[in-house]
Amino acid sequence: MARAAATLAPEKGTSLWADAWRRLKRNRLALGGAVLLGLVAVVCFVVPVVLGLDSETTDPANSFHPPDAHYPFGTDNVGRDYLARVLVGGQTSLLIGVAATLASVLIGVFYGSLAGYYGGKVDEVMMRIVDFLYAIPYMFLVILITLQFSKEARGNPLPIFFALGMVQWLTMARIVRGEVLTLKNREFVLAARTVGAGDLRIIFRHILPNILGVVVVYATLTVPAVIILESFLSFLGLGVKLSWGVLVSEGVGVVNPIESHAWLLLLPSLFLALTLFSLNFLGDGLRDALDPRTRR
Amino acid sequence: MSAPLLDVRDLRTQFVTEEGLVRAVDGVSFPVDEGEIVGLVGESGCGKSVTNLSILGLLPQPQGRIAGGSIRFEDRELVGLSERELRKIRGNAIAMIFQDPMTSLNPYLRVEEQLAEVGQLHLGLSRPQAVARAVDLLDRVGIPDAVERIKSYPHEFSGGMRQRAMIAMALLCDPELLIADEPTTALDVTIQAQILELLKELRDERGMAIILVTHDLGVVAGMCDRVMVMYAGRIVEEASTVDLYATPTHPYTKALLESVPRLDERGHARLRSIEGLPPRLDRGPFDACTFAPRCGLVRDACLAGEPALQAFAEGRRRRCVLAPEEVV
Amino acid sequence: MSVSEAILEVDALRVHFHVPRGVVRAVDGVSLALRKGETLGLVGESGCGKSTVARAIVALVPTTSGDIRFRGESLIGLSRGRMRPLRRHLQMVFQDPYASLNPRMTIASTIAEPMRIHATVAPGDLDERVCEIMELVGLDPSMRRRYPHEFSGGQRQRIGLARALALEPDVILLDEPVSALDVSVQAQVLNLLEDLKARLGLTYLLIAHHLAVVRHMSERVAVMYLGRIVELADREPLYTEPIHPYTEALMSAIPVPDPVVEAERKRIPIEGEVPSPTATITGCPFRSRCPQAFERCEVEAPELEEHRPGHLAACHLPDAD
Repeated sequence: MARAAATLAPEKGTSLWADAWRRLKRNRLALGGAVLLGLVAVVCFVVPVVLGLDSETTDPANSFHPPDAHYPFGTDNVGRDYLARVLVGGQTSLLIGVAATLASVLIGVFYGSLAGYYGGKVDEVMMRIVDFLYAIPYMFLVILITLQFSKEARGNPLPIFFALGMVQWLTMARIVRGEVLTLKNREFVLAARTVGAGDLRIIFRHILPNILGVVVVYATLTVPAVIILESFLSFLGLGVKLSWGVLVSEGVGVVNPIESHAWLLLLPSLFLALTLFSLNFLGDGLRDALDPRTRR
Repeated sequence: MSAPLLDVRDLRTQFVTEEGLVRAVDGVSFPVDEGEIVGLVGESGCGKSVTNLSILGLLPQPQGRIAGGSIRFEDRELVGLSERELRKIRGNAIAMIFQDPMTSLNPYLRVEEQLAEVGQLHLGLSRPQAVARAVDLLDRVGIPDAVERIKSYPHEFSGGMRQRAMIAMALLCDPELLIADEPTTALDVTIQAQILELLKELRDERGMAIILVTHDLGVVAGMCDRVMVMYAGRIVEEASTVDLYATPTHPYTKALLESVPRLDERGHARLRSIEGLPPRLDRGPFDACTFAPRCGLVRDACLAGEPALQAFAEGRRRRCVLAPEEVV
Repeated sequence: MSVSEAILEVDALRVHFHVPRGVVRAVDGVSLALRKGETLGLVGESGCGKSTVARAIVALVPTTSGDIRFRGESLIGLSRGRMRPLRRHLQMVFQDPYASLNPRMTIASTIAEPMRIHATVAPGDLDERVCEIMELVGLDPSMRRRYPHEFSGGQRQRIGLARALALEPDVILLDEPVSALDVSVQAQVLNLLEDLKARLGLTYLLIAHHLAVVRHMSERVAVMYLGRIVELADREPLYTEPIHPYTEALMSAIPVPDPVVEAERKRIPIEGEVPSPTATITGCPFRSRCPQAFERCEVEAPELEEHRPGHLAACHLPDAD
């Protein structure tokens, strides 16, 4: 009998994540994005090690060497291997993008959900702090944080992770708080309270899963924003020594109509664009996958 | 006998959705005479609102379209009219009020602006004339101190007041036909009684016809001259209100009447429930009676083909293969 | 049945909310007792405070003053830890079957959640218990791994009922359980509620604006207006011989699905609308709309008193006659 069979079958595969994964696998565009992103990451992190590429050794005799069999990506103005530079630069860009976004998500979601859930005076005070931090020009904040680190740490990506994360979480906190405010009075949350669910269960089982979609989409928008911010900081000399942002800004400096050297701009830009594209597709896909109402 | 005010013939309205073609209204025909209150009852998704949106030319675009049939109003065909021509009729000879007056009023404009605009646009009145007319009508629909209250914003009105304001707005151009789609569903019962009373008075005063769309069988009983019961995009029974309630001849009508608890009930009869759900309208067209899967009286003939809507007595039509007296 | 068998007592309950425009007296001195095994209907128009009474009982809104006792034990001022075991016996079904289920949880997790929280069922037996409860409310257990959006309104309301039943409660507060459903589905849910009550010996507090539904379901009925109970009586006397003019007007306003009856019925018109909940009210709260108000109503608020055996009303009229 169907009824007996149904009862005997153990309850499995019903977690939100398992279901989301199942739905994500059916979304070709998102899956393509994820594969491409993984490919870029693997190439950036593995190829330089395997081929023993060197991104720093200069060779003035071979400066502005166009791409060929020996130098697949050509060389830059001082003859450094551009393939090595693009890939090693990608390591930094990806790390900063992911780490700063992760930091902003963790802080923002935690802060925003506390403020929204407890509301009242707690919310008032917490959100005024956010408003205050917003009011400080973020560049100033980033410079201050970066300068806090010792001279040796300069050019090291760690302070940049920290600084960018510190700025990006503000918007995330606001978004999360707004969502939590509306969700906490929804009837299913009230229903959970009447069956005796505690605050933690309500936040983690009932509220956060319902804002994941918004968080994921905003996070995938944060990664490119962070990568671009980082390149701006690098341009000001506050950032790292080598990243896609650095390469693009250097590339812009050397490209000229007479001797175009176009590869110096196009190659890092191509990698950056590929990464941002796949992030967008993956973000959309994740949002849909996390929503059980999506039919796919 | 002269032609009816409104004559809907074999109306078919369809929506193109991701799930496929939804036949929301599938062959609906009915006339509405001058000064008549006609009830359109049924449960959500039965097509009663879509029928009205089709008459008004307000189907959501681009998904919705009238796939066939005709809608004649005062001997003029409405199907196929341009948006411009429809707009001249809508809010003029045909007016409408909806369930939630808040969504039909612009929250950023004073009631005065919104009402006077109609008079200026449709009737060519000057601003002071239009305002005076609006005040008169607000007064007529029972808004106290209309001269002052017309300067309010919609949110400063209660739900009942907003619905009154909407009715006043609908009356501005002296419509021949008022379409009222669940006009009291969002209101409390004491306010509902006031609004329904008002609609009846206005009909008697002005002789306008009203199509009243509702799911509340009680509202229909008190208001309508004639009722059409809709199910799955079709009319399944049509009769004068008195006949329909006295001797329902379609199994769905009968079950519906027995499934609502009554305020005047004596003792305690168990409610009749209709098991199951209406068919999904994206699964059509149907080659059997659409109510058959939920019908207690189903027989082979019901599954052999879709019964037609047939007249069987003076002013009565039904869509059922059983004889009227077999429906018990 | 004697009053001593009251399973749930609400005593002079007040729930006031502070809003920018003043104080909303959502519930302003409500007392009622729910007898074991009965269905007590609580009716009134929107904003009369009927839902707030239920929400105060399950501590979803803070109580301003008054007492709520379950089996003689006060629920007011209990710590969360002390409140939790009592919640098991007192459950609630919400109005909107679309908003009251977490869209990200399968219905099995939704129904199992109360049992997980209270550890009433061993984890290994949870699934079986979920299936049992689903059968009890007329749902197919093989559908338990689906999400709420895959169910119709009526089925969702059954899921909400299953969640409330998971802890085997004594009392269920039904907050407008059928008002969001189509009529044919309403009948299914109302019949199910009656069956479950008989089978499990439940006690219901049925909150609804629909007087016919309340009449069909309840043994006793309380009518609320502006945060107060204006009349409380057994069903038959309340519907056939109401004392309070508001009850009378309310009932005359409900249309009856019978054109012959409708044509003969006399409506008692009540003019105007409910006063703003922030307004300060002197005298009887209903006097501004009451067709029979007299001087005393303006100065003195009537108390809820027994005018006939078991028939309480808050009105000066019976004294004036």
